[in-house]
Amino acid sequence: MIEWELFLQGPLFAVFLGNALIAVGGAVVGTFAVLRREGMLADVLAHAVVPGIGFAYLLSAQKELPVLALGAFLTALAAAGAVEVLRRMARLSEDSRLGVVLAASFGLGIVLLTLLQSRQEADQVGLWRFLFGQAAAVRVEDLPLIVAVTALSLLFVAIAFKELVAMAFDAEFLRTLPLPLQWVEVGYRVAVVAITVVGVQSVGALLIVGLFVLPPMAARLWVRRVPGMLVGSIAVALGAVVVGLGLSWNLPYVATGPVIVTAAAGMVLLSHLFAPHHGVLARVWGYGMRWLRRWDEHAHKLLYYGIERSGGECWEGPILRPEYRGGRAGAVLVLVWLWLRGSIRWEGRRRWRVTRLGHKRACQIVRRHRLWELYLERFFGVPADRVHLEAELVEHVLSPEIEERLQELLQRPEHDPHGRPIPPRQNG
Amino acid sequence: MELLWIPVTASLLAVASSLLGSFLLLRRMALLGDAVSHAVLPGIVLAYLWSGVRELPVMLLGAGVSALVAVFLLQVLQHRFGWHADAALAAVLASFFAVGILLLSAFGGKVDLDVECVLYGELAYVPLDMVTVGPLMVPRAALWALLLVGIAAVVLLVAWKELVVSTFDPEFAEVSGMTPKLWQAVLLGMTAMAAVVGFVLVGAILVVALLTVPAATARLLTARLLRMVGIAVLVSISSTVAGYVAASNLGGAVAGWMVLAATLQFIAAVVWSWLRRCFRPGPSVGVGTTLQRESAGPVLRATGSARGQFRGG
Repeated sequence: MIEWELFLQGPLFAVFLGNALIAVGGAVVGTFAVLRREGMLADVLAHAVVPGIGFAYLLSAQKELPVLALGAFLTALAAAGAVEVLRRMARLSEDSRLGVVLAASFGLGIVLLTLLQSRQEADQVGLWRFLFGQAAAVRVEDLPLIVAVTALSLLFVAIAFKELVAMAFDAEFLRTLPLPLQWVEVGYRVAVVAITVVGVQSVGALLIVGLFVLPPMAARLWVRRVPGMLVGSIAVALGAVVVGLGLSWNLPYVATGPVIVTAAAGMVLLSHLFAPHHGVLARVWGYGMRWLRRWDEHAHKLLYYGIERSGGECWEGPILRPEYRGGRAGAVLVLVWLWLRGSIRWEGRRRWRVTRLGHKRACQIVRRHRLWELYLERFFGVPADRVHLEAELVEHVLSPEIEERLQELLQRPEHDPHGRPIPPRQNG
Repeated sequence: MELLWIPVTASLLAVASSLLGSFLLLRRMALLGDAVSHAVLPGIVLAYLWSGVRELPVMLLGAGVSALVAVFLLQVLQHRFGWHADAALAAVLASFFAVGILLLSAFGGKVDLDVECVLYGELAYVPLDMVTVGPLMVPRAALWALLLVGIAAVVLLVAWKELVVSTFDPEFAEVSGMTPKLWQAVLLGMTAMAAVVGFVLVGAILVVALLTVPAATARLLTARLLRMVGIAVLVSISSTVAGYVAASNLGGAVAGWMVLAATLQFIAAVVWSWLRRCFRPGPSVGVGTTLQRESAGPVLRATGSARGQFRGG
């Protein structure tokens, strides 16, 4: 067990704080990247960080984070510029532009790093760690840069929030307004690149796109508006960091960065399972409830046929049998269901009595069915022998208001097209 | 002499990738190749952990299953859950790669795959694993690359018409009974195979370079499909040879140099096509350019004559 105060002052807290800040920055900027459909562009920029680190080390022979970060920052911006230049100069589709820039910058990075490695330098200064990250090795000295970059990015998003949202959803409209948009655009790109650059030492250049894309896609399922999505993706990102660090502190030999990204992916999965409205379970629940309601209404229809046949509210024996095609077990199931719903009462051996509530429910569904049959016959001229199947579908979705309108439209009818009575609405 | 197998093997892989890459590019699926090449990693590691042997067929099986799951997930995310293509690609790519690296780091002691292999492959070690084929000593990897080229060439020869039509006009292909979905699946399957062989040779990430860069270069230089495929093959061969020469003189990873050589050719092609458009008289400069840029997709002339040329020539 870790002592709380020791944790707050010790290197583990620096690790947690550094990763948490990077994840939060990635989640906030990534929300806009996802909304602008630029998820893969973020991946390209992350790969373009690699040659920058090689160049910076080659030119300065220093392994301090700010120096390497500057080099990485410049090449990532250059890659963003290259995508833009290709958009103007070459007639290629967006995906091939991105693919070429990604491949080219990563190839350059590999050449530089392997050249440094052959001089036995890269291993010493640990340049490889920027590819897969060393989330568990964020040091206290690295914190100022991480804090500064994340704070500036969040500040920028807070200031330019309205413009960023508008740009993500309706850039055409925004262009008609007299606003300093190019600065917002530049600021957004710089924020993406800056978070990427400081993030590579957490989860690495190859996986940082996971921190950009996964938290917003998990949060999107729980909320409907952009501020909520921001808050949600920050929460998901923090959760992923906590889970990732917790797992990797307890399991030896597990790289922390991949665990964080896998945890974020797991949260996307969980969100898709459990989110309200859009989650798989919510949908299955909805289907199930709708199915159950139909089944319940069919059971009450059978109950009504029983009432109609016996002419009263009390009958003996398995009276559902002739109407119901589900066999004896099915009939028993229907009876048990009706009893559980409180629609019928058991009065000793083989005697059933319909309760007032059950009678009301049974009349309601049959009334809707027969009203719709009559409506189809009168207003659409559908022959009486073909209205039944249509009404089977509609009886479940007619609301009480529409039912009342139908009553008025058909002038409170007494009988359906088959000559059977339409049960009137009972009050109370 | 044995070292010559390095550029030969790389060229075989590059030829197969550029054949596939040309069609992927025209279908705007270049990044899908990227995602597939990342997604094979967990399958490869799991197959290796499960079987304990490092044989290409086993890795191919694991990678194939993994790639299938990834493509299925992409389809589900896009069509069932309404994700946009970029978010789905990025999410699948990052999660699968993370799981793969996680497995590598957790079972690193037991797996004979290391992180550098993931990054830039083991092209330099190709001559170390030779098998005897008749009178010749051939690297095992070269045989696999040759098989890949063979399969790609056979599929292209057999189904050229179907691939072309389903690339440019999927609806017409559908109503003509050409089963475009089947050919798309075949293309994806071959991409997964190229990703596996490429994973061993040039690493998981540079596979996308072999798939994309030669095809994009060729696309800039010509507007005819057959020429495009031919130019892509030439570009890929020349960049593997140039990359090998550069690496053996300057040091560094062969795979990285190969990508750099391909990139240089791509840049030259960009400049060339741009200059040609600038200096060509007519409506393509000025007002018309914006219109043309909007339809910058595949405006190739892909007619029935392509098949005739291919068969005849």
